Amino acid sequence: MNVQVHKLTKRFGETTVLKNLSFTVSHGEFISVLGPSGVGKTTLLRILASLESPDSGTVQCGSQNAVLVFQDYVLFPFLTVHQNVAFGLEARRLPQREVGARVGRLLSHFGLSDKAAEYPARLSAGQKQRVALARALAVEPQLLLLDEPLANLDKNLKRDTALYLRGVQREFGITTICVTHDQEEAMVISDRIALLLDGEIKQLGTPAAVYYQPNSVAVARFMGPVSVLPNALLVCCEAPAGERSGTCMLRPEQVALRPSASGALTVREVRLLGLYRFCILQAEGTDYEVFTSHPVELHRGQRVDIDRVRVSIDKEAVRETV
Amino acid sequence: MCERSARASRRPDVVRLALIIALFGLPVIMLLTSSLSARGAATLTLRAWRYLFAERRTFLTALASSLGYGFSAMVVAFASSVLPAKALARAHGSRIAVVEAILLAPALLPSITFAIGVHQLFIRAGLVDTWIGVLLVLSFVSYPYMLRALIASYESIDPAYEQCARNLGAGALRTFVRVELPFLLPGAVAGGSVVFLVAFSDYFLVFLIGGGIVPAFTSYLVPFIRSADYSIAGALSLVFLLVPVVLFVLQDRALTVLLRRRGMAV
Repeated sequence: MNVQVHKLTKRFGETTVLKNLSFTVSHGEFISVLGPSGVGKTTLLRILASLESPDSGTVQCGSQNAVLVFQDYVLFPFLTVHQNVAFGLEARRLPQREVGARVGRLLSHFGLSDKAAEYPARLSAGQKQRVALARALAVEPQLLLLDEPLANLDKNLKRDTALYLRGVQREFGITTICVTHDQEEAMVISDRIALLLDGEIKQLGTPAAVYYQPNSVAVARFMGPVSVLPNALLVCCEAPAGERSGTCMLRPEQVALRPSASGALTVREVRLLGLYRFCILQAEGTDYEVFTSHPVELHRGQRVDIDRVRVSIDKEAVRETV
Repeated sequence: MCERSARASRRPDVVRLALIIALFGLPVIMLLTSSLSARGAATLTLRAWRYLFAERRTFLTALASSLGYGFSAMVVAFASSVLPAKALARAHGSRIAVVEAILLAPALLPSITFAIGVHQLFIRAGLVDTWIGVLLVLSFVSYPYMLRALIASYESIDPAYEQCARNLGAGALRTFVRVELPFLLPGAVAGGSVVFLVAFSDYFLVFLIGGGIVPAFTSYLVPFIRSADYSIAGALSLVFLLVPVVLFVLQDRALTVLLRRRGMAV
C-alpha cells in the first residue's frame, strides 16, 4: 500500500510549520525526511502517526496502522523487554499463546532472547533501540515511522546501525519514513530523501540526485560542503559556451585547485577540515568559498586555477523519482 | 591537625542525632514511662497494658475502624484525584492555576468552617452517624494532599509514554494501568501517607459526622486524656504511633524493592 501525503499544512499559532506538503511513498520504500532542527520533521511524523492533526491536507496509508519509534525509544520502564514487545499485541487482545510465540520470534530475530526478563534501565542504547523496533514491528504495521533513529548512538555505531536498520526494513518489507537532521545518515539509509526546508519539501529524490544534482543552493548547502562558482572561472568547464556565464555547484571531489603563476584566482585562506579543505579564493576583487578534496600544496598569496573534475555517477542512482 | 578537623566535622552529626533523640525519642520515652506508671504513685505497673488487653475487643474495633476509614480515604482520594491531577499537570495558563487553587482549598480552609457546612449537608443526605459519612468527609478534607502529589507525579511523566502506548493500540484504561500507574506509585504512596495520617488521626470531624456511634481510635483515646488517666492514654498513644510507623516502613521497603528490581534509582 502506498502512502500518500496530499497538501498537508500545519500551523502552531502564527507560524506555519508545514506548508502544503505532498509526496507519495511506494510500498516497501525507505524514505528519509531530512532537514534542520525545528523545521517540522517530527510534527510531520506525528501527523503520520495520528498523534497530531493537520490544519489541512490528507494522509492516506491504508488501514492507518502506522507505528512510530520515538527518538528516545520510550520503552516502558516498568515493563520487561518481553512485556514491552508484547504491549501492542496484548492491546489488540491477541491470544496469549500467539503473543508469546510472536514476541519470542522477534526477540530471537533481534538477538534479545537473553534479555527478555530485563527491564529497560539495564539495557544499552543499541539494545533499547532493538527493543523499540521489535515492539513496533510486533504489531505488523503498514507504515513504520522512525524519529531520528540514530541520534542517541555513538558516531562509530551510527553507520553500522543505519545499515542494520536498512536490513531489517528490507527483511520485513515494510514501508518506512524516517526523519533525521543528519545528511550522511539519510544517505546511508534511504531509497529517497525528501529535503524539508522552511516547511516545504525543496527536493525529493535519490541520495545521489539530491547530493549531486541539487535544485537550489540551499539544498546543495544542506547536503554538504559545496562550492558555488561562476562557470567562467572553471578551466575545464564542459558547459556549452552559452552557459559559461552562469554558476555551478560543485562538491569537494569535483574541485581541483591547480597552482599556476598565471592563475585566475589568489589563495587568501586555506583550512584543513579533515576529508577536504576549505579555501577562500579571490578573483577580480570577489571572494569565493571553495571546498576541495584533491590534495595539493597551497599557501596564502598563491595563484591557482580551478579544474572541474568529472565524477562518474550511475544514471540509475540519480533517476528522477519525485 | 587532621584528626582534630575530623572530630570537628563529626560534631554536627552528634548534635543532629541529639536533636532527633530529643524531638522524637523523648516523647516516646515519656509515653512509655506514662504507660508503665501507676496513677498517683511513683511505682511501675502494667495496669494500662492489662486494661487494654482486657478491653481488647472495643479497643481493636476502634483501631480497625480507624484503619479502615484511613485506608479507604486513601483509595477514595486517589480515585477522585487522578483525572484532575492529569488534567492540571498537562494544562497551562492562569485559569488553570485558579482551578488548582479551588481544588486544593479543602486543605486550606479551617476544618471547623468546613465541618459545619458538611454537617448540614450530611444530615440532609442521611450520612451523619454512618461509617460512609465519616469516610466521605475525611476523604474530602484530605484529598488535596493526594491531588498535589499526583500533579507532581504527572508532571514528571513524559507525555510520550502515553502517546507511544496509544500509538501501539492501547486504550485509555490499559495505558493508565500498565504505563502511567507505575510512575504514579511513589507519588500516590507519599500523598496517600498524608491522607492516611490526616484521616487516621482526625478527632473532630469523626466525632461530628460519626456522632460517637462510628468506632474510632481517637474517640477511644480522648476520654482517657480528659479523665487524666495518662497511663492508659500513654499506652494507647504508643499504639497510635506504632501503626503509621509500621505502615511507612513497610511501604518504603516495598517501593524500594519494586524500583530496584526494575533497575531504577531509589
